[in-house]
Amino acid sequence: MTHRLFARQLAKATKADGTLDVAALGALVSAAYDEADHDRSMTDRSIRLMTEELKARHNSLIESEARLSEQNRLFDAALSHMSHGLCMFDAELRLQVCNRRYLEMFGYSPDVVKPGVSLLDIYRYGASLGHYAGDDPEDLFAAARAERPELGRILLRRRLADDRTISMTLHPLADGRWVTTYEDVTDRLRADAKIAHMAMHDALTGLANRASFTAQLDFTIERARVTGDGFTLLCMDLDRFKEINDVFGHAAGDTLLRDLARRLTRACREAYLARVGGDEFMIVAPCTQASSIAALGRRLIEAAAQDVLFEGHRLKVGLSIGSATFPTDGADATALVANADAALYRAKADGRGRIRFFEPVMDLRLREKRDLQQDLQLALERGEFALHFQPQAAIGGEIVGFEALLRWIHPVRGLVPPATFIPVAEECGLILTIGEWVLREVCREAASWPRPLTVSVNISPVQLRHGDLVGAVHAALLETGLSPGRLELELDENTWGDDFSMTLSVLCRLKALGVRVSMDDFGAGYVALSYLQSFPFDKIKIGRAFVADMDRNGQSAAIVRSIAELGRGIGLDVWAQGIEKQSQAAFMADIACTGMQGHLVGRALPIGDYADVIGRPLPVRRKAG
Amino acid sequence: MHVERLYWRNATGWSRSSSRCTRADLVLYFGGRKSLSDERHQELAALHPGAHILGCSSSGQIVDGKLNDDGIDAVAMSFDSTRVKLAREIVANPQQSRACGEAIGRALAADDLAGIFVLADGREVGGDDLVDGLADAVGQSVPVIGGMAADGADFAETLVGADTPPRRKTVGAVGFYGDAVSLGHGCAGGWDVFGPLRQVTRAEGNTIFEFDGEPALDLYERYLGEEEARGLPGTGLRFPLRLHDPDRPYSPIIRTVFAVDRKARSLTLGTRVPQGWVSQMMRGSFERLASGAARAARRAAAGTADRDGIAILVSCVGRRLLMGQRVADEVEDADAELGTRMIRLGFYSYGEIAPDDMSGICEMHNQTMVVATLSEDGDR
Repeated sequence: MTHRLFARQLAKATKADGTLDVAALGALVSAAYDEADHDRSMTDRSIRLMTEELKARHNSLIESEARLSEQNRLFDAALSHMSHGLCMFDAELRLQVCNRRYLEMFGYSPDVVKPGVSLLDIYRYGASLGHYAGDDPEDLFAAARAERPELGRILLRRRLADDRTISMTLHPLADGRWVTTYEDVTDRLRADAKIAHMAMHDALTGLANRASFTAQLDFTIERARVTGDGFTLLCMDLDRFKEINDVFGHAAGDTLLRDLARRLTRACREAYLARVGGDEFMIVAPCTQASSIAALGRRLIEAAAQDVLFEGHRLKVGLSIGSATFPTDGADATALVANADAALYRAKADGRGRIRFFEPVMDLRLREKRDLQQDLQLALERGEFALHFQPQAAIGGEIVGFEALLRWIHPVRGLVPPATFIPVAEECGLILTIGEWVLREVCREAASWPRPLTVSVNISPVQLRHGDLVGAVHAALLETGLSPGRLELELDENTWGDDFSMTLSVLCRLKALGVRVSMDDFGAGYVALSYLQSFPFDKIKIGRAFVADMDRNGQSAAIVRSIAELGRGIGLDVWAQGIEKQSQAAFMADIACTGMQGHLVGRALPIGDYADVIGRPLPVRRKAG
Repeated sequence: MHVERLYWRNATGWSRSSSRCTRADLVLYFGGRKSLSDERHQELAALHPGAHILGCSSSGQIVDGKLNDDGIDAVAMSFDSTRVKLAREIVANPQQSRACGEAIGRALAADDLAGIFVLADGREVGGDDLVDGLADAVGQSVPVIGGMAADGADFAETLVGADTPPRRKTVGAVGFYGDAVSLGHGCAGGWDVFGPLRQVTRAEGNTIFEFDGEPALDLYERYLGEEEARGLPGTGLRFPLRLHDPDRPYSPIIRTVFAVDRKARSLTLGTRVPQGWVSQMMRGSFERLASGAARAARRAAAGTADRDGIAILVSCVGRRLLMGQRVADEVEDADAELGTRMIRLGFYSYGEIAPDDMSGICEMHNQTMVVATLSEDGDR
């Protein structure tokens, strides 16, 4: 069969008369060959170039594949070693990828949880492993389907049946897929809970702390205001706890507190108990009747009274309780706490180991005390303190020194007795500042005297225990240039208190400065005689009460005589105080006291009144006219 | 419907078939640019007074299964019950192509508009925009068929006459109205894609600067070879480009390079190419191009076997340049599908217009053969 092209060429080359134009046919055929050659060459060229291009692309693909494979390996390694579990789900919630940690976290088998499996099947599998106690897998899946990706990242927490908590974060992707990360937050939650517990509880006893107590009290008040129910606040303080700490050490104190906390917890039953300070406790009790409160108080006091054994020692403390009832004894937290505190103050004042109910008069006293405290704070700034000096004479009558006595002249109250303001100053710690002022002023004053008389200053127990007494004395001496031998510090029997070694250490260091130390009011307290031996006193001052009683009471005279002998026996100066009569002075001379002090010698007056004694020239009086 | 065949040859002037239209409604003609002239138009008008006369320059005419590069070939037709209306617009610059399409569409729009046949300057009118504008005005349900005037392989001047002598920058279209008229159409390429997919990494408007970061012209010249590259843009017809939006890979378009910028190393197509589109080169084998043409004709002729009428064939000049003497294969193969009662007239164009076979949306195509059949219900 003739090729259609050649047939056309033949037809085209056939002339009208039917003869064939061979030349024309040749040209047509030749042209067709040229076209075919050209087409073939173009085709060959295309195929060659295409092959080259495909080869280049193939190589590039191999390189890309290698890079991707490496990247996949890295991703896989990263995913496998992530501390979080990770899954990716498609828009239909079928698993696309998950890491090892995810499988480990839920205990899933990779043969079950693998790409393609639906989230519903994973939930069913999890349920069969006991993960979702009480939760139906279908419900869990329905909830997951209901999540709305347009809302962005979603945080969920799931508590598993084995008590672990898994935190899940769902990150929606733009194409409808979800990336979900899982974190086992069990330990973190426990730590958080522990931290939260620690923030609200006392580490030693495990009881609620002050912050917790404050919140609880506020909450109870709010609730009581709504319900109309009252409640009672008990403010408690351990008696003699400080002694335990001082004598047996803090470990003993801690043991006692832990033990006591357990017993108080039992004793207070449904009431709320908090430790708000070293040995201070608070109870919020849901009762208002005096009998119930008293019963609670008794239980608590009994519980506290039981001995605690510590390294062979029986530790014993007592408990004092003050109570205030809402709303009658205080309509807000501040008033209630203050009033319970006032009642506690009263319980301690009444002899400790007892409960006292708040009475309005306590509030009045408390307020007075607070007012006094506020005034005291201003007294130094306003220059309301003054020093009076009482002369001290050798037994022969010659004045050898003065005792400095602090006076507070209040603009409204007038002269406030030391017995009133000193305890308040001691209680609020102001005594430290006042004491330093006194030391400095006394030294400055004495240093200015032409005659080198001695001067003595009374030291508060608080100064000895809590302040830097040695530093303050040293500074006063340095500042004023007073010779240390002219300064005498008077301490009464209360001063050395519980911490024997500390007191001894302070006294020794004071002595090392060169100052003299005396024991004031000897015989008034219960100090052991052995203390006289141990402490480096220079003198003892016989208590005023004995001197005053001597005339009426022969025993007092005997005691005074004995003290004088005792002092002499251990090499101490013995001084008598409160000498108002010549007969008393004669008695003291008779028993060989070293010196005396009292109205007979001279009253406590501003130093200007003793100008001649100290050797200061008297001001020249101008004559009239 | 009556159809009269006419042709003009330099040596013999106008010749007419024995079967004559006495009151022709429309005369269609196609001829080489150099054969067209004011005189030929006036002669035609004189032969068929009162008829609309629409025609354009070509890269060869298709007449009854044969290719003809001489003179002018035309048909005159008269309809029994179909109305015909002609509209003409001048396009000052290609940017006005869409507005021009809309204007023509508005001029032709009517409730009973059954179809439009349009011819446009193939160099100075943006075929895509023109068709879009037409579709905007008349709607996608009205088939728009036609082609872009050509100029052999010269790409110098392309002319359209629409009741006027043939001129540049001209668009002419006829609308066919009424229920009786029947317009069949088919469109097929037959090209094969080859080589890798390439991304258009830099493009502006109709111009592609880079494929995959490589200058577009470098790639093109490499495939053409040195000799063919010198023949650009004409030789660009050998490797049309298949382009598609990466998000719509199943709606590709085929475009021919019709201008190159050797300095900028760019290719310019007859359509906008957004940056990011995906492109692949195409090549044709004689057999597949010819069978593509046959497929287009088969679709157009479906249901018209027992009718008198006219088949209008518009094929791309690129196919002709590639196929050389073998271009007669596609003409013959298409012709064989059109039965015995259709008068065939067509031309090689710079762009083909027809509804897409798949989507039905009217588009301008490159490197395809478009076949339209026109008949009336009474022609049995």
